[in-house]
Amino acid sequence: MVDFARVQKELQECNKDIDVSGISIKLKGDNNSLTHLTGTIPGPLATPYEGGNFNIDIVLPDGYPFEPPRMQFATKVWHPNISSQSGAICLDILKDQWSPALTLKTALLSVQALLSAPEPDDPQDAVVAQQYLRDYQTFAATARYWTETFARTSALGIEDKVKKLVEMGFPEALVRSTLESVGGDENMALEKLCSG
Amino acid sequence: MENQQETPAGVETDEEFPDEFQCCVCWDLLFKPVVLACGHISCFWCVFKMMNRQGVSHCPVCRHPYNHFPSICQLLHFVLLKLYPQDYKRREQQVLEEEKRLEWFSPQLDNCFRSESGKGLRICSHLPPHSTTCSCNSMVCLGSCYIGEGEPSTTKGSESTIVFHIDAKLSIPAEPNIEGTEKVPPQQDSMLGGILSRQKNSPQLLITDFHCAACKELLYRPVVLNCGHVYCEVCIISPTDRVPRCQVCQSAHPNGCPKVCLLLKNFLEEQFSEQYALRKENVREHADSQNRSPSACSIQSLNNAPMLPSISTNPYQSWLPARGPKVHITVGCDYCGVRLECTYGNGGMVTVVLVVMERGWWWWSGKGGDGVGMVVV
Repeated sequence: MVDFARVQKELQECNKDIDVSGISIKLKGDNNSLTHLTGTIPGPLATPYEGGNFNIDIVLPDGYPFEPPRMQFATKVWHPNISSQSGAICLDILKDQWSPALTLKTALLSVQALLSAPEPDDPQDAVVAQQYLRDYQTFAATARYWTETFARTSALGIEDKVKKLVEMGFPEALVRSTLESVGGDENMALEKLCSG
Repeated sequence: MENQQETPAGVETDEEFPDEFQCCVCWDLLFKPVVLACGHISCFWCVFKMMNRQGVSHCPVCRHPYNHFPSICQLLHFVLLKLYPQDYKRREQQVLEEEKRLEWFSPQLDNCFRSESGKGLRICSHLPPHSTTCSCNSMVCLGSCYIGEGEPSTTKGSESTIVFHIDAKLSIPAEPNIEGTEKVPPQQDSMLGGILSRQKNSPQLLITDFHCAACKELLYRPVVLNCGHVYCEVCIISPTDRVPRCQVCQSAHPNGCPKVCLLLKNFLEEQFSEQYALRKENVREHADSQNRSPSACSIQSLNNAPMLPSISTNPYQSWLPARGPKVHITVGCDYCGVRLECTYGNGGMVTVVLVVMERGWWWWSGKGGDGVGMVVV
């Protein structure tokens, strides 16, 4: 059983100093389940991720807080320790180094710290890690491009995205369900809509 | 501010407990606090759920390794009860409901608390926290509930079983006579609430509540042993014994010297600043007269002592007849901390079978059920 009392307190606590930390946690979608959440972290300054807002899908397992929350990027990101395909995060505190004294906020802070301090020697995405080690300039440019492309648009509200896609000629109901299925990522939704 | 104290009886007022008394795991007021060897504190059930069932466990805050489930620190339990009676009572109800649902019960600290009358509460609060002669029949009255006089015998099988015949009755705490908590009529309950809310800004904390079990003076740099008893750091050092041993319940503390419980130390410094400063001076003077820093060398040697192995590495040893069940001063599981309620003098014969699983998990079964829970005879 997830400790909902604690989760609720965590959400309150985190969203209290949202102006300082820039980190927010919301319920995911319109199902009012406390086990499916979306966290948002700003890209750290002086990194290729600066200026982006990254959404992270959070699923709380039954054993939370005794088991780590399952987190993965919903926003596409180019980083050695984050899968460019699935958004899976390679971070010890989300695995064996989790401690019940950690919180969703501290975990998101750690993910944010991971963005500024990649560990290419322990990669999640081998291609990105290779590029990081061999050609840092290209890596930084790609990461910046991905931030511009994916992390800025996902800062748009869901209604803006729907409007934009409806304007392209897709039926609204389909747009909404597609957006929902890809976790609100506008580009992925477009890709999916085009491929039929 | 006067008006705040005049809270009408029965109105739920959430006492504001400070962050330091918030459990870092459940984010609520600490309930049945357990102090780990590193000095960090969590609730009994939080530590229980947190412990690694296959290997070494780690403190959630500092990752300090430990193998043994510490007993509840009664001193802190009663202090929290005195300081935040409403919240603590709310926590008790909450935990009890959960325990009933799961049919697993944590150690009951006293029946006086559960009977919940103002009088009972007062009697309880003035009980010396280290009392070994507490009259209530709880498992945590260390020493008085020693029921290890068994006749262990092992049986063959893939799992080793050790059978104990115990001359005591095990009972479920959910019996109506113990379950006073829910029987209290709402009016009486709210009257109590009124009394307690008036007390809340001037809790009747006595300096005697914070006496070291050894020197009987105000705790200076308090450390909590695995058995839950609290000592001054300098008082647990024995020149003959390398392992700190509790003078109250005689149980050895595993893994070297425990660290100072900073929460308690800071609390004492704040609450009894003058007396604490005096104690500090006394300890210094004493150390100077002995021409050395206060037991620093002994503490260091204790810290370097090898970590006692987890029970899982040699689970049977302490139960073997030759050694006697000296570790197991209560019926219960040293590994997971679950204790069984015992009642003396009923003449009932209970057979408790302790099954040592391969990974060191102690399960037991007896008449009426298996697993970790309570047996009624």
